Amino acid sequence: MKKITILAKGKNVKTVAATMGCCAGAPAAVK
Amino acid sequence: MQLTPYLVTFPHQDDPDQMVLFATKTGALIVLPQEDFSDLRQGRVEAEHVEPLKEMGFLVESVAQERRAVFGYLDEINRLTPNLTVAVILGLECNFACRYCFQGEQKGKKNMTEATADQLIAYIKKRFTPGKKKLQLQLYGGEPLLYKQRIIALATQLKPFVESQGGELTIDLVSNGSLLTPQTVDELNQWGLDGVKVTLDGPPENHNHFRPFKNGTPSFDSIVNNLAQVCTKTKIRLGGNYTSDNFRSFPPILDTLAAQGITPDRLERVNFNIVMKINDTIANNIYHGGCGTINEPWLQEAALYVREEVFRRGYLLGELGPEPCAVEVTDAFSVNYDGTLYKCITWVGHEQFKIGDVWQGINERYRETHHLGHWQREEKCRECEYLPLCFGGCRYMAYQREGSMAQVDCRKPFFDAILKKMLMQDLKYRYGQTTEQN
Repeated sequence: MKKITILAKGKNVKTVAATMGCCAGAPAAVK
Repeated sequence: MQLTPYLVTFPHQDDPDQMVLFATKTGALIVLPQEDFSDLRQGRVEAEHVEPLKEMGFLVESVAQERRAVFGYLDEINRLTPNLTVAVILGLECNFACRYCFQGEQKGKKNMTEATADQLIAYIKKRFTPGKKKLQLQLYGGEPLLYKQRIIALATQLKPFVESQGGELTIDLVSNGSLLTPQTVDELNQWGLDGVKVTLDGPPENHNHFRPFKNGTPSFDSIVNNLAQVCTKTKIRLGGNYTSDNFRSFPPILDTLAAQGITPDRLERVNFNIVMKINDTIANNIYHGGCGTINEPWLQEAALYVREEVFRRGYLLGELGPEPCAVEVTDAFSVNYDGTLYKCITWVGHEQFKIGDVWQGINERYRETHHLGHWQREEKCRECEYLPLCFGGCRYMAYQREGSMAQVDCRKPFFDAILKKMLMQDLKYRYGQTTEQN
């Protein structure tokens, strides 16, 4: 392989956060 | 090794010899030459790249095994997450009268009592089990800053406890911003304030129509004045809730903010999103607008337009990636002012979806009433590359639309239509990878 450009490493099982009211309208989505 | 089935790929806009790969399970994003992508598809990978590509979720032992892993992913999160996330409604008093408020008719002089607060503290201490590293308190009202003394009283008990367990207390507020003075932020910073979500609904005329003070007077200017003074003291997450009629008017308010010194470096994130259509009777029965499903066709154009215009002005948006619903996360729950427990802040006040209280704890029957794992029973979810981004979507939205949360809130049409374009925006603005936007 020549070259992989990593732009975002992403999250793992310990770093994903639970969301509430994630699809808006509800004034939630604090993360 | 094989490529993950939870993958979105497309050619790089500026260089067709390069491919862009996005892993929906992790939110990882990479660019690599077409020929290497071709090798990857055939399982040919140099040893040095195997581990990084596995960690980022691009390479898996087998497709079948990875599908099983994603089916068990929420269980794995529940086993390993170091966070306890507790949303607390301190009371339902508010100094605003937002037309679309999802708390609607529930609001008023209903406040958490001393006894309930004491029991809440005891319950949180019990739930902050060994191995937990962070207690995330998300404080709502009504308007949470009407309850500043209660916030400090909770933190006075919980901060030393959590720290004695080797953990950290963080406090996030969802506030209307009208009481967010520098003095208040200074005071709360001592207790672990991690940030505040404040909502501006577009330009002053629109915002003041949708989010006036309770006595009807405009609120836009007082919020912006406060933000200008506190944006260097705490992380500000700017929200705003648009409709099909007004989404174009939202990004220009960032120019107003920038002119007031609230420049891109002063906001952690901008998250303009849809007003949800609320049909149930315990919420607002006056406002009937809003969006019933994320798949409404107008939203494809609106979401891309708003995102592009926010990015173009130099402000940051939240990253694309997995966001498991709190309903499926064991160590996340919401507490109403009276001590009753719910799985998500949006369910508060819906008696039938109460899951317990701070005295008795959580009744595990919620697993049936909230249809946990409903996505696992759906064939279309099992085969869907977007599953980790969605896990069956928003139960509250499904309930508002269909009167039941038994069926998944499928978002595939939305993702099919715009996810690649959103990733192209990320490439251009977040990572400086492209020059032109198609």
